[in-house]
Amino acid sequence: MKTRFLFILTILILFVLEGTVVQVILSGWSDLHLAMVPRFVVVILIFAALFLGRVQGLILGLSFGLLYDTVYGSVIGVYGFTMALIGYFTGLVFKIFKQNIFLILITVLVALVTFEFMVYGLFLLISVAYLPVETFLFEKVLPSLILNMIFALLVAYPARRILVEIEQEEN
Amino acid sequence: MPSFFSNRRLIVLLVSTIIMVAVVGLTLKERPIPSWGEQFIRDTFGFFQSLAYKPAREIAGFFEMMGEWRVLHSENQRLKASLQDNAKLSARIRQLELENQALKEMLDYKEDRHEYTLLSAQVINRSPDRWYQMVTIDRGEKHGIKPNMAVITADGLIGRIKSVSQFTSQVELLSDVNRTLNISAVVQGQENIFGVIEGYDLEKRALLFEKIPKETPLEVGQTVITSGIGGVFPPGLYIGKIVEVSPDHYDLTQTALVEPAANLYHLDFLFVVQQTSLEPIEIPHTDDEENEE
Repeated sequence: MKTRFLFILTILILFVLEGTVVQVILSGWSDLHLAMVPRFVVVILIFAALFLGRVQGLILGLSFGLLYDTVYGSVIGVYGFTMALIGYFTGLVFKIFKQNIFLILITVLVALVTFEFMVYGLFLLISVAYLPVETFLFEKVLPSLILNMIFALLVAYPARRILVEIEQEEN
Repeated sequence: MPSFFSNRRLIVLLVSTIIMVAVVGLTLKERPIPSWGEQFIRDTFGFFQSLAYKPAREIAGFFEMMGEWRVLHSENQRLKASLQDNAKLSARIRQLELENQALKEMLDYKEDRHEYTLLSAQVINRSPDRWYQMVTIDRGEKHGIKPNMAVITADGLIGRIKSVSQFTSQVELLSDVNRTLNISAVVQGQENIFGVIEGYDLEKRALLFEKIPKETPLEVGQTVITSGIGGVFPPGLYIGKIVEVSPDHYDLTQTALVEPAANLYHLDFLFVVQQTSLEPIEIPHTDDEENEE
């Protein structure tokens, strides 16, 4: 229980860092500033869903998505829905892919791209987004992926250890 | 292995999609005062974000200062030179002001004074996804902030207050393409050219000052300020300079690209413009609140 509490606290801290410290670091370069979007919470969410299963992935995704909508946005529901879906569907494949760190990273990559496109699509529908698809893909998704995959690589081993611990505590 | 789409799960997915569409639809419109739940979450996170943002900004500022160390000497000399110009200029402004006042008195002119006070605020977060061009500041309803107030930095206009919580408020930046509020502006040329700033060009990073009559002489480098028409923003706030003038698609009007003077990426201290002349009744009320604090 204590490990789980600390895990959620870590996600909350990452959530705060995304909008503050990361933004300060990026503000030095106006080009990167437009392109790189930190998705640290989503990366951790994918890890969590892989190890804890689809139901917990869904709950975590929904709560952090709604939080993201409220704090960093104004329209409620877009991130709540997409992050819940991402949590649920990565949770579905958890039995196959959690064995190997390489497979985990591939899952994170695929889920991140899917996530970005879902958010883009929904924002396009409600006309918050404005970029044409090619610009979106090359100037937003790719730079963001580099940043987030580096983050995923860095946290893959510690996250796996903590999540396995939580998993064992449950059983 | 559970099947991906059993009937029950499909129904749940459909129902949740419908709920999402409904919630998005309900919250899509402009909501200057959000619900108390959102206000509570934003204020709570605002507190922790200000704890994270301020030290980060200070450390970044320290490194920037180290970088600027080398150019400091040459910059100092340049500034000294411009300071002399400045003294001349302010003497001239004083002279013109006196002249203006004298002329107005002669004409018995009643001016509607647009006075405003500046409320300083600190940025505490910036929306990380670039779909929302938004920052949050650490001042809210309790400090006297109201929706649609103009927000400036020392360099110029940067946006407006979009939604207000008790202790924090969200600022919509000029670079927001989805901006719902157009800014009435005026180009200071030989004669004042009035118009509306209607959008933002992301690639050129400039504001679009559209639908100017074709004959109007526009030049690159002319200054654009807010005109105060419409009453949302006070007049005379500096926006930026014209960087490009081009005809529109049908060659009927022309469009000017206005580069904002304020740096929209590097935001730290901001000022919220409180128009005092529009709401004279509320001034004693805010004074009382300040005394209580």
